[in-house]
Formats: sequence, structure tokens, C-alpha cells
Amino acid sequence: MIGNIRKSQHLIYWICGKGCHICRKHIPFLIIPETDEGLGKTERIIAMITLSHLTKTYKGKRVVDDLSFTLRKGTLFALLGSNGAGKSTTIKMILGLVRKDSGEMVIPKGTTIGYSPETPYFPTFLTGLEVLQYYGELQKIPKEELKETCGRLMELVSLSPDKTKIKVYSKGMLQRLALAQALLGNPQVLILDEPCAGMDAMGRIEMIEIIAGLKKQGKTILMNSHILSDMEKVCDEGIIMQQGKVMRTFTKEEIGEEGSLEDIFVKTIGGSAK
Amino acid sequence: MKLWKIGYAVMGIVFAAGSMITGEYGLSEVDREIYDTAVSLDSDMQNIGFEDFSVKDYKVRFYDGKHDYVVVPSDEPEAPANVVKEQAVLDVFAGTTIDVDGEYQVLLPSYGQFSNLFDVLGTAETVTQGMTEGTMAFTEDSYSRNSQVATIWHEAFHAWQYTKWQKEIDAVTKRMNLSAEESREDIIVKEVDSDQEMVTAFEQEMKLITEAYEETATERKKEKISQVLEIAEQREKYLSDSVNAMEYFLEDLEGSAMYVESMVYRKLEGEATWKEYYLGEFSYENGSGKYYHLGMLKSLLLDEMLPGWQSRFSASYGLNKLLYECVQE
Amino acid sequence: MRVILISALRERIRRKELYIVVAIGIFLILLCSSDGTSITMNGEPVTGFNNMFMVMHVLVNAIGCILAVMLSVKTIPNEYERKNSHLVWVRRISQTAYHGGLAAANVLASVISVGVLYMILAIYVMANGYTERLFAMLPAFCLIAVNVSMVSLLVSVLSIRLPGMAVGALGILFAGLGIFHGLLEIFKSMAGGIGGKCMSVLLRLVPDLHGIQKQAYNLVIGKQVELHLLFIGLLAIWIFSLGLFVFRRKEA
Repeated sequence: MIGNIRKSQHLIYWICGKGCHICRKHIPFLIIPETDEGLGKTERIIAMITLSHLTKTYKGKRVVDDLSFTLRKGTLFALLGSNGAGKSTTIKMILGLVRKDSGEMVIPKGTTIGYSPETPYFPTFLTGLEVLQYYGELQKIPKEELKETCGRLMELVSLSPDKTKIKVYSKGMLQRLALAQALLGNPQVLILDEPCAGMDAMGRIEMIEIIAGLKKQGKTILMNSHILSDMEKVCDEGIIMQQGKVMRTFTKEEIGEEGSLEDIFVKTIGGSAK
Repeated sequence: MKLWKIGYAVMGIVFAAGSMITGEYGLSEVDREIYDTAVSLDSDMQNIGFEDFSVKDYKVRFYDGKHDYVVVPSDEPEAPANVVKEQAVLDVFAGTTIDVDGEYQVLLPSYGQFSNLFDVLGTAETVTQGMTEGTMAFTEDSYSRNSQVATIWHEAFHAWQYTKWQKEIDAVTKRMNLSAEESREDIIVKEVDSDQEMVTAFEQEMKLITEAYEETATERKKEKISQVLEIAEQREKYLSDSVNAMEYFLEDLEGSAMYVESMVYRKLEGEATWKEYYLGEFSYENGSGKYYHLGMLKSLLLDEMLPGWQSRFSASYGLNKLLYECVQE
Repeated sequence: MRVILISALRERIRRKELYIVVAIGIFLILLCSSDGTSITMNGEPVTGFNNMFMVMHVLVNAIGCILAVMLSVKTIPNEYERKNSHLVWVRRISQTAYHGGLAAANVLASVISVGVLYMILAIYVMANGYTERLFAMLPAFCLIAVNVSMVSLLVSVLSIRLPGMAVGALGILFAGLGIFHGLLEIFKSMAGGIGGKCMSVLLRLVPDLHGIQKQAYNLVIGKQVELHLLFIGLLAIWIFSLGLFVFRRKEA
């Protein structure tokens, strides 16, 4: 027995290729048989977020169409696609900001998620530090811990904890601050929507380094970006979306085999345009 | 969490209960007091001289916007009146006398509603007059409880008139020949107020009657009354029968009711305030208001010139006829 | 909720809305400080203290209610327009707590605004030498605050679901019906028919804001106060607050 379910049932689900949705619901990890001999050597992979056949329609238009993927613990999952592909909508559905029309979404109980939006809005009359303190208080982080955490996070994203107001922050600084507030409470999962949007080259490099560092620390990251070269450096796997559908899945190894992520992207999107 | 939800619910219950407990149901305390004040003046008003006229003979209906609260006087002198809640007979704002199942009753809005109306209509007019003519004095509040008491007496007087002189009043009403299209006000404005000759004549009448009232020497008073009656006669010949009937109705029946009302007001507010309120600036205005005032002034003049005129006044023997007696003596 | 309330209030203060309110208050004082009139009311000139105090009291209430609409109409919609709500929703803060905090900030801002105007009224009272009335002005202000809170809370709750224009219009309508409640009762009776019936329904739904203001005025001048209207006002606030639990946005 694994949990309350017989081992044979697991095997049946895996054999027919549908994946064990029962396991994912009741047990926060999947057991994948490595060999045909059954449950011999196993590789424990923990699913932090699992989407199955997710659909969303806006005013008669399918913006997300039968989307399925699994975000595995400790990996960086890339969500790629051209404008209007449904990436931001997917992220919003995961975060509960938008209701899904159909499909399943499994997030194990107790999973903490941090979110960095594409266009963050912060009260312009506050300083960067005050913004972090505000969101930290919202999350009920104890006051003693909060001050130290905010200082540390500002340092991590290379922002000065001085009296500079948000209204004079550049786009790049706002993106950094967005990442910092996403890290409040040390979440297990980070969802980053265009974290490098509007940043200059140096800024982007720094940001990618920070994100890579976070992944090394064990954070699970779902990231959406148009800058493929940056994604190639950090992602472990991902999907390419077009008009709400998954056109292609890929892994880090496949990127290496097929040349570059850009090549895979052009092949997938270019191919579907034809 | 649960504690605050309980507290929140309790708060709502407390507010709801508070609203219900403090709410007024039935006839308001204020209206009750107004009625009692009106009834308390009964013996004083008997002395005025209108035979068998008593406010206790008529039911008074207070309309609060939804229902009528009918105050039914008790047969026993000391016993308080009963209050009965009934369907509103006229579901609109009105201070009037109304026939309910063959019985004339006084109908008026509850005090709260009436005072608001006077704020809107009465005050605005008098402020305008004041600003063009000079200093204008208001009495306490634009419309007071004492005004409401006076109104009860005004309408009760009408009820007495209709009860006593039903046939004569019906005859006058028939002569007025009102149609569905034109109201009394419409006809006055069309036939009288639009005719400059009639306006001038009436203004002269108003001026003379005011002077007659203010005059101290009896002979000079009589002189002015004679001139008033002359003008009235000329106007009567000029105007149509229906307009004459209308003017008679307004001047004599309404004017005498306004006289009764002013007597009540004088009793409650005192001489100075009564003069300010009733004997202030008397200028020509379109519509029926000026007839009320003229009739009241004629009644006051008769108090000085013909004591006991009230016992001879009727729907067929009006104020002008009584004034004729004054000048012929 | 407290954190959201404090943040929303701080934003107001920084936006300098208070200065506009003070300017309105000064304008009021100047308007009512004119001399020389031949019109008397209750034995004193119309511009005499008692008459002017009455007028200013009514004006403070009316302006306070209108300000409450203006201060409350865009707060919650702006949060969603700027997508500030995203960073709140993802932190698993309930909509009731979020909207409640913003609504509370609206109410507090409205009460503070009318408080500034009332303080200017108090200065007028002091300047005319009627300092004995100042004590009564504090509880009287609480009654005015009930009016303003009612309007602000209603507008805040409606703004959760309805578009800005509709909320503003409904807010002004509510405030107008409440401020002119007594007059409209008369017109309702005079009108009769369908018009009268519609007016009757509307007036039943809207508390008598003018009546509550009048009780505040009675409190200051030492007349008897009717508690009924105050309870109705508080009940209305409680009922409107239920909207925070009932009205929800489907998406951030």
C-alpha cells in the first residue's frame, strides 16, 4: 500500500500513460518505476503544482486550451510563447486571480507561493523598504523578523534601503523590488512573470544570476519570459504555447541537442504559423 | 474569529431592536399635543360668537404619508379622545375638510410633514417679499405647532360651514361652474389677474380696507368702508356670475375661516406675533390668497364696527352685506 | 485588514485631499460671515449667529456627505485597475478583509474630512463667544459622522462590483435623497400616483440624513434629541457592511 491505495492501481495508471492523479492528490510525491521490473529503483519526484486539461475562455475566445503540465520541486519551468499565447492567464489561474473554466489544478496543501507580476504597482509615496514591510505585515511576518528580512531581501536584489520613494524608481528597480516582495515569507514556489521586462543588459544578467541562485537554494520556479537567451541559461524544462495550446514541451537536454532554445521556439511557432 | 462574528450579529440585533423600540407608532406625541391644545381653546373660541361652533364636534384626521390617524372626540367632557388608524382617504398632501361617509371631517398632514412644507413654500415667498419691501420678521420656526392648532380650527370652521349651510354652499359652487380642465386658481388668474382694470380696482379695495382697519376715527372708517363697498359693487357688475361666485366663496367662506384661524393664533402667540404674522404687508398676488386676507380683514373690521356679527353671518348673508349695515347706521 | 486600512489612509494624506477639505471649510466661513441685512429671523438678523450656525450645520452635513461619495468612489476600483489586488490576493487575504480594510479607510477619511469642517464650525462658535456649546459639539459630531459613514460605506460596498460612474451616481442619489428627505416626503404626498409611489419606495430605503443632522443640531442648542433616527442610521451602516461579505469579485 502506498498511502491508502494499492500498488497495482498505481501501475495501471502509469501503464496507460495517464499518470496517477490519485497519488498526486493524496500523496505529495510520485513514484515512477525506473525499470520494467516494477517498483524497484525509484526516483522520488515531488510535484509542486500539477495542471490537467486547464481551459479558460474570455468572451468566446479560448485563451487557454487543454493545458497540462507538472511543476516539479527544485526545477525552473519555463512558460514560453508569443504575445497572447495564454501564459499570463495560466499564471493567474494558478494563483487564483482568475477562475478556470474547466480542468484540474493540484497544489499540495501548505505550499507557499511567491508572485512577481509583470507590471508591479506599488504605492508611490512609500520607499522600497516600506513596500516590503507593508507586504510582510500583510503576510503576518513577526515584526522582529520582518525588519531583518526586508533588509536582507533589498540587499539580495541590489536595492538600497534608503529613503528613495517608489515614484522615482526605474522600471528595473521596480522589477527587483517585485522579486524581493515575492520572496517574503521564504515561499517554496516562485512564480515570476517577465521578471526581466524593461531591464537593461546588466540588470538582466544580475536578475538571472539571482534567479539561478534561488533555484540552487531549492526553490521551485515557474517563469515566463520573452528573452529566450536568459531562459536557456536557467530553465530545466518548459512548454511553448500558442493560442492557448501547448505546442511543444522541452527539457534542458533537448535544448542542447537541437541547438538553442531560440531554434526550438522558431521551429515550433514558425511551424504552427504555416 | 467566531467571537467577532457573534459580536457583529449582536450589534445588528441591538440596532434593529433600538430602531423598533424608539420608533413612533400610531399618532405621534406631537400631533396628540396639537390636538389637545386645539380642544383646550374651545371655550375661548365659543366667545367669538359663531353659534354652535366647536372643534370637538368634528373628527380630525392626521395623515402621516401612509395612513390616517383619526382623533375621535369623546362624548364625556373630561375623557381623552380615541385615536383610530384608518386607510388614508386622500393619499396626497392636503390640509382640508373632507366628507367621509356623510360626515365632514378635518384632514391635515402630521406636524412633521406640514412644517417641512411651509419651509419649502411659505418661507421662500415671504423672504422674497421681505427682501424687496424692507425688513421682514418671521415668527418662531417657519411653521409652528401653534400654526397647526390654528389650521385645525380653520378646517373645523369649514366643516361647520358645510354642515350648517350645505345647500347655500352647493348653490354657490354650482354657480362657480368649475370644469375638469380649469381649476379655481386657473379661472382667477385668467378672469381677474389678467385684467388690469380688475387688478387696479382690487388693489384699491385692499388699500382702503387696510386703511379702514387701521383708522381710529369711526366716521373715517365708515367713509373708507363705503368706498370699498362701492368698488366691490362695480367689480361685481363687471365680472361674470361664475367669477363672482368664486370671489364670494373665497372672500366670505375662506376669509371667515382665516379670521377664525387668526383668532386662535392670537390666543396662543400673543398680540405682537399675531400682528406680524397676519397683519403684515398686504400686497396684490395672483391667485386665491388675496381673497382670504381680504375676507379676514373685513371680519376684523366687523369686530370693531358691528359686534355680534358672527351670529348673523351665513353663506347667503356675507361680509359685504354686514359691512353695508355698518355704514348705514 | 488593519494594515490595508493604514496604508490606504496614508495614501490619502499624501495625496493632500485634506487641504481641499480645509479650503472648502474656509470658503464656508467666508460665505457665512457677511454683514448687513434687513431680513430678520426669530428676532435676529439672518446673518446673526444662531441663524448662521443652523445654516452652516446643514451645509457641513451636506458637503460631508458629498465628500464621502467623492473620497470613496474610486478607492476599491483603483486597487483592481492598478492590479495592486494581485499582490494581496496571492497572500490569501480574504476579499472581505481586503475590501473591508479599504472601505474602513474610506469611512475614516470621510469622517476626518467632515471633522475638519466641523472643527471650523467650532472655531466659528468660539469666535462668536458661545464656548458653552463646544462640549455638546463633540457628541453632535458623532451624529454627523454616522451620516457620513453611511454614505461612504454604501459607496465603497457598491464599488466592489459596479463601475465607477454608476457608483458615483448612486452615491450622489443616496446622499441627495437623504439630505432632502423631509422635503421629498412632502413632494411624495403631493405628487401621488406612480411618481408618488416610486418616491415612497426610495424614501423608505434611504435613511433620513437631514433628520440625523437635525438631531445633532438639537444636541448643540440643547433641545431634545430623537434617538430613533440615530438607531436607523446605525442599522443602515450595519446592513451596508453586510455587503462586504456578500459582494465579491470573481477575478482580481
